[in-house]
Amino acid sequence: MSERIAEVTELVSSVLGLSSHAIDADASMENTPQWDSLAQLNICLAFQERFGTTMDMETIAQSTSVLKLAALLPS
Amino acid sequence: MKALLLSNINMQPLVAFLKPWDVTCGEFNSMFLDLANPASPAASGDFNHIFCLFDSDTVLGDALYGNGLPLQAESFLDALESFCAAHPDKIVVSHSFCLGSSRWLNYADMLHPLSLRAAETGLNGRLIAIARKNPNLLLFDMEVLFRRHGEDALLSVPMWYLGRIRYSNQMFRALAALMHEAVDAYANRSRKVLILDLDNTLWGGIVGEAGPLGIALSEDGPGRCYRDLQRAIKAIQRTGILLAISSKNNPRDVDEVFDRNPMMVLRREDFACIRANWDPKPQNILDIAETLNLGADSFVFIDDSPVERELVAAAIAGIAVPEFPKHVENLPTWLLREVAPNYFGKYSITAEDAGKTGQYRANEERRQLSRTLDLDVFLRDLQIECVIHVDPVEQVNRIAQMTQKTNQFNLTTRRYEVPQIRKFLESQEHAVILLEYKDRFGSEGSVGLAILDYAGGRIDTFLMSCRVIGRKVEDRMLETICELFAKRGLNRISGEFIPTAKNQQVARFYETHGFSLLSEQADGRKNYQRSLA
Repeated sequence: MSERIAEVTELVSSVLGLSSHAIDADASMENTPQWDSLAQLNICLAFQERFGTTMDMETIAQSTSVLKLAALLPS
Repeated sequence: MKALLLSNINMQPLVAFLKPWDVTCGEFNSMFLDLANPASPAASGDFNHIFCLFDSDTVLGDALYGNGLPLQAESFLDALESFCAAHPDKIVVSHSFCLGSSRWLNYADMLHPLSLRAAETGLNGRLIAIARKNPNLLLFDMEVLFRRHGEDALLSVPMWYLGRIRYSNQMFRALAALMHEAVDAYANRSRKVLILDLDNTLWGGIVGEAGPLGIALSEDGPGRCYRDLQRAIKAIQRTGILLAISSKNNPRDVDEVFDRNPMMVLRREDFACIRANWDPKPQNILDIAETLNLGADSFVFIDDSPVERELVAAAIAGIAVPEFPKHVENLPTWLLREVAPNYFGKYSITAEDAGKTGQYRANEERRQLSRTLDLDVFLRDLQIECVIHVDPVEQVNRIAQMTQKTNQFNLTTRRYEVPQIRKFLESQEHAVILLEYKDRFGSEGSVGLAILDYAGGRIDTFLMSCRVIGRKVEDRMLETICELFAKRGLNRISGEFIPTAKNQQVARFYETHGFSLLSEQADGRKNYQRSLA
């Protein structure tokens, strides 16, 4: 699981244009200023491409933290 | 490039994929307003490229659901047309209409008066007409992406309802790659020569072992992979690319294939140069470069052998050596889908392009003649005829192409794109001189180009195709230029030489044509003047 979390953290920081240690596993829309609603869509676009999954509208709207995104992946 | 991205949907995610281009995203859904409003950012001097990437379903509005004709799409085309005409100096990049596959009429869509399929065809017809009239509109075919990758993979329905984002990242990636290729093609950044191996490349098997009729090359069965590959190569040649052969073979075996195998699509005369021998390939390729008078950095080399590919790539700077497909059935698609758009991308094909191989082959024959005669006799014997055109507006594409591609006999090497050439053609303060060449071996088409700046009394551009170098055609063009300047009442003209890595052969051109040196700068630029009295 921790490997998945690290991968998601890296993906999120890259979409947000931040250096990879600027955010950690606890990062979310609430505590990261760059993570606004448009960024959330960009993160989910990149997430779906990277992990070959599809997300429905509700999942996209709710998966607003590194941990919630990582939880979508098979462990 | 400074580009502004306009759309009627949220295309912001594309910006990251378009790097290294400097792209600014317009306001959300500002496309109509930006095109129509003369005070908009698109109309300002801040951007030289305008990307107009629209969502076809959205442009159709309620017409998508059968509520009347697609009038909104027509007014978008009106706005696009006026914008292109009002800003000939900007390159506008847009694409064909491509409606989604979910259609209210379902099976009735083919024949119904409100058919979406028919509407799409009609709108695309008008779009193409606009692009024909406005060469600064660069159109690409959006449908190609949907056919290749599939609608389900490219669209992202949840993103559409959450944020007006229509596409998946797969689409943004593919779209960005297509746009990079299209813009390169528009700027004429194509390579010039395709060098081909023979055994297991143009046909299956080894001719030295299987014989001219034993190689795999046929209309049925796996031999068709090679025959279709040859068809695709022939098609690329029609766009103005020269073909050459570099093969380790006995020349007689190769001759026999050309003479006796009826399945060969490519004939001997399709190749500007054939080198079938046992010398190392890099040596043959350099020899081809010398014969054609073209730099090997404009070559693409195709060979099934990884050893030969590595050898050539290591020995010849700048040559492109694409990987060869693992499975022969992929050969034709690979050539058309990857090699052609990557290295031989063309946006417009000129009449010169279609006849290029013939011109280079005629050059070989002329060279044979020049070996046996002294220069003056040779030139007289050629029966050269030159026609000089002033401001030939219909040749705008060819003229831009010449400034982009001519390296050797080019005094200033200024590269221009179509919009800039159009300005020169239309301006009273400039003249564009195009020289057409013909001799007893055939027509070379347009080979000489000069751009004159009357206001500055200077020759901005003076270039000749390397195909006619050494035939004193440049003297005739310079004479005409002097006459034109004299007619405008000027009594002296100036010219410059700007050195590049490739134009040393014309470093002393002005000196030997009655000009005197005025100044020389540290970077080697020289300014000259000649009196017209």
